[in-house]
Amino acid sequence: MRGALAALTTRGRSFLAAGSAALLCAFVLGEHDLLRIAVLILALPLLAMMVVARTRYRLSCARRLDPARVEIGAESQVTLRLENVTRLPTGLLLIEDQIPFALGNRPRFVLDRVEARGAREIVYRVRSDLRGRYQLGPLSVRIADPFGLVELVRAFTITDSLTVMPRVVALPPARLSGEWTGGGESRTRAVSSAGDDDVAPREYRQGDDLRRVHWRSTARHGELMVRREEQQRQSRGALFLDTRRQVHGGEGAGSSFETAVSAAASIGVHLAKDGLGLRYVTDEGSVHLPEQSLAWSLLDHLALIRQSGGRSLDRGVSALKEGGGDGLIVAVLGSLSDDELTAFARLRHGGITGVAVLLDLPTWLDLHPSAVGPAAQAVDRAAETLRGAGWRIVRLAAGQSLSDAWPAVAQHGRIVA
Amino acid sequence: MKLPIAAVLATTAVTLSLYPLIDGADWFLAALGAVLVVIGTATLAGRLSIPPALASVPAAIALLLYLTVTHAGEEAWGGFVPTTTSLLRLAEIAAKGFDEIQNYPAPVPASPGVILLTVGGVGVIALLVDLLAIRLRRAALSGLPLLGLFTVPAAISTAPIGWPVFILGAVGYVVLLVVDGRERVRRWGKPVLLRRNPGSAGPDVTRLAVTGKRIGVAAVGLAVVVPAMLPSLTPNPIFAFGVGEGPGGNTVTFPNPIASLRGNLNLPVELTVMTYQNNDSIARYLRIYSLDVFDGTQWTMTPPQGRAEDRISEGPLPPPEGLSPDVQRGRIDSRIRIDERVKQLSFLPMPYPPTEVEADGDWRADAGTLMVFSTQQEAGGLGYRVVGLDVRPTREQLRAAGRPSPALAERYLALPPDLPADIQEKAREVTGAERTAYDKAVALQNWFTKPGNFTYSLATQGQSGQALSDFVMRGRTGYCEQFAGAMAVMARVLGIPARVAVGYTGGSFNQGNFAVSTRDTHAWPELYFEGAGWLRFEPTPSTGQGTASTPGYTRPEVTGGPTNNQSASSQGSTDPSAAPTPGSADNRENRDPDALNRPVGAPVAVDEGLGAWAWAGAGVLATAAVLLLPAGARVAQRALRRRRVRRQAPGSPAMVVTVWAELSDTLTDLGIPRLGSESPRSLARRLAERCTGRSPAADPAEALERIARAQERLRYAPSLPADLTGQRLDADLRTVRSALLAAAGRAERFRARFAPPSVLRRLRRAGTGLLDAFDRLESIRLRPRRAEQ
Repeated sequence: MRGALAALTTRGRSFLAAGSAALLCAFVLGEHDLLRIAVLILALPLLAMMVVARTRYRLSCARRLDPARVEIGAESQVTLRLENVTRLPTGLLLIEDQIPFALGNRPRFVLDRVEARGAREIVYRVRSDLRGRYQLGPLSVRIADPFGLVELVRAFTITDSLTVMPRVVALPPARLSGEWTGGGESRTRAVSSAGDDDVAPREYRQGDDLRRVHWRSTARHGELMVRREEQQRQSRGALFLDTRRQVHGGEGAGSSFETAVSAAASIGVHLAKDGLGLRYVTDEGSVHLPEQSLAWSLLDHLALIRQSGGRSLDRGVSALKEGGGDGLIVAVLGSLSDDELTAFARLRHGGITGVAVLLDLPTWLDLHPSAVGPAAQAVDRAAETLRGAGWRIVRLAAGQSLSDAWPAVAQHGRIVA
Repeated sequence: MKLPIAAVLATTAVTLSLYPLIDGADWFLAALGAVLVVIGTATLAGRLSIPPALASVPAAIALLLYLTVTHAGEEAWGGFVPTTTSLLRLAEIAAKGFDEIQNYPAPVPASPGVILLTVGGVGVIALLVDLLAIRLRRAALSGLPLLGLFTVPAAISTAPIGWPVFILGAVGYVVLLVVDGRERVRRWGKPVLLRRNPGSAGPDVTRLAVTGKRIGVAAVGLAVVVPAMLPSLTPNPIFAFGVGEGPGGNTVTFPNPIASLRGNLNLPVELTVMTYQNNDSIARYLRIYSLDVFDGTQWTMTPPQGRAEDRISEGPLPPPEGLSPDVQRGRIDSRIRIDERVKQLSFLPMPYPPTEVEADGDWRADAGTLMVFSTQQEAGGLGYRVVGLDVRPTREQLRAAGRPSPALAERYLALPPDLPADIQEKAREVTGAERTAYDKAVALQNWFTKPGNFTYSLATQGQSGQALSDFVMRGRTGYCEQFAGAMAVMARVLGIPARVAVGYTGGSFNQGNFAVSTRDTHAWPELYFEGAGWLRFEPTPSTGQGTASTPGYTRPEVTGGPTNNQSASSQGSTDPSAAPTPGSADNRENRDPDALNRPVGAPVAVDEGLGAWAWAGAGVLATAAVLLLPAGARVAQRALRRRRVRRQAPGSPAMVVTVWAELSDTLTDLGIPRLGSESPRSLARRLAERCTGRSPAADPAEALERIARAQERLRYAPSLPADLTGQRLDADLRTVRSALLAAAGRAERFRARFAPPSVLRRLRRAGTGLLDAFDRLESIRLRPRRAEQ
């Protein structure tokens, strides 16, 4: 009852107060007509309270997202199913699903009386222009009366999350020579090494298949170790994304960073589809992704990625170096300083294929006309430096689709004398 | 339904409550027109892109135009554009209407002025309702102007407003709230109309029907039923609205009695106002009004208070003020019929003091003055019966009269502070030699009636401040108004509580009836003597007022035998022109001196009413009775079952069922749990163990065993065992019950007796059922459900 009293709206409380005052006046003044009015005004909120109190614990709710992962700008359909689990009809229900403002206005619905054992399905759509993982829910239900005298807010606890992934563009097939030239050992050797202690195990990381635990090494090291020979079976590559704030320009959905993320996602998905074992490295180091459903996990990761505040590229470069055995390095780069360029250019050596997706940063920046020239020249210079070290260059300007620029990877880089 | 339609409905429904105040139905149609004009204009204006609150401005203008067209069309330019003349005309009509409302009792005749005021008022209310509910979207607040409108009849008429009208008004307001709520809900979010039931195959689309039926219906129902169950409230005199004249609403409105008095006396034609007959065929003054306030210029009346318990239909009237049982009295039974041509008379003329009145309708008696009046009906054409007293105090009793009570003295001895001193001196001079109040009063009357002292003339127009002084000291010319007023003032000066009665003299006897005409309109003073109450005096010389007569107790003592036994029929021939001389005024009093010595009739029943303590006691008793209802129900149920067992064939299955049901209830009452898996036999064993040692009564094991065996047989065997057939088991039941009760703790025993859980559980179940039924109210359909696609 106390809960129901607290559920009274301002209007409801005013009715209660006015009714009590009228009742008092009716007795003091002895006005029979006033007594009737007092009873009417008092009865309205009290009855509404009773109705609402009885509706309280009568609902069950379920939410379904279809699909739970969407690309930027695509819609997802949310289906709410509310069920009245008792044998009496409910009152008026005002339903509001709590969703982040990035997904649009909060969906609000009115359910007037769900009959006994009845159910209602509410469908609404959400879309977002920003990557991220969004929490849908919890659903709040306001049990109200038609007079607006009582409003009881009750929230369900269940929430669901919607992942908004970066846009993935389908890339045209382009032969990356050296794609299969990685340091993978032959299958026969890998299999034969089952009994070999020098199998170069590495420590267990989350996501590794338990069947690949190398028990002997585990016993020796005192922690779980896995064989790594099977990794070597397939062609391996590394995907590098420079997430430093300082190398990117532009704002929000149209910033160079979003283009870089989208490019990394597209390339990652493209390569994973080709069966390439991909390592994902950012300027902050290597990021481990479970190897099954690599494309999805990469996309999940890229959905949430934020710009980093780091200044140097050293950790990224060393992570790329450490990995070793990569036959392919694909780097999505912003504007690099000359030192960083030199360090980066050196990563490609031997038979490694290096692809640099170079963002044409000046096109994202709102530069003074006099500054456009030098900036463009700096990008050209960077491209030349990398190309000189044997990198293949894909230059991506603002508004340009990666699928258009991608064929450029087929051209071999030449060492400039 | 759209909000404006709901606003029109609500305002119209509440407007209906004005019905007791105004005659006819024209005003209602005109008011309906105003409501439509106001809300319609505001709705149209609301479609323009102006701030919502501004839509009221065109609506107000439209209301003015409407009033101009309907009331001052000729003066307006083009019939509807207000001009200065038309506005002045409206103001003039309104002022006239205001006067009429002040001067007529409800219901007032539907004159143009009254209609203009009503329509204008309702229009303003509609304007406010529209502004609050539609423009500002505060529908709940629009209850305030509606309440204001509703208060008008509630404050003016003493009787409660009829419940059908209340229901209409309440439903109107509730509908307004619901429609507003629906609108609000629609703004809040998208209605979900698709329903998927596990049972039905396809989706089922319904309309959004935020109806609030169950809450609305239940609230209105409670508002009608709950006050009806309470004792009817009566307006509290301390806080009652309005006194006398002036704006602010009157308990009852009445024309100025003095003004109508003179008007009647000045009528060129003599009209019969009423006829009456009574059991002793003696003409008696018929009082209508009792004026108790003298403001220095004229006598006026405190508005009478008609409490509900003083309805004449409730029984005897309140006892006459100050009349002690020692005073001899006779019973007068009069049947009075008022002529149909009499208008705007909401007081019943009758001899003072009345004890019982039988009349159709809601007539009420003012407790102090015993004026009988109605706020709803008029006396015109009414026939009614009055049983009254013929008070016959002896002179000794009057001379021995004590001091009046302080409250009475305060009310009836009040005089304006600027009362001319010469009047006070005159009063003392006239009564100088007399000692007692009674003798002073008689001396005063004699001074007025002494031939040569005063002249009767209807030509006097005395209403100024000096009128009284002029009359007493200088002109000495006047008619009954002046005589009565002057004597009452002078009596008050002498310390005798006095008031002025206005009404009719006894009239003339004609063909078995007394006929009272407009010429018999009269005013006379009533003086108060503790013990005898209010007694009539007659200062007006009977040369002027033909049918006036001095009462017997004011005449010189009769020493001889019966001197005048003049028959009433001879008096009937009296007419003003043939008025007897003042000296024979004695003969005109048709009171048989012997009657004074007749034994008193049945004592007057006095209605004391219930005191506050009695009400409090009744309240306590009622609460106790309600609290003990479950216990009583249990006792009754046990008695019923016992009787049923006795009546049923011994050993019959029905009897066993009854016995077992009673045992089950007893266990529930004592809070002894029953296990679902327990057989009757094991239950019996458990109960027997429970009682062992703890129960001082007889060991119930055998009785329990018999009951259990009977139940066992009933369940599993076709017939009862041989040793049980022919047994009733009721004695066993009693044994078991007393044993169980004895074995139980004190608290359990108390609960089993006074709040038996078996009854409470049934009550709870019934309560849940009631709530479910309340929920089902929601599915009431006014219209048949649409065919579903």
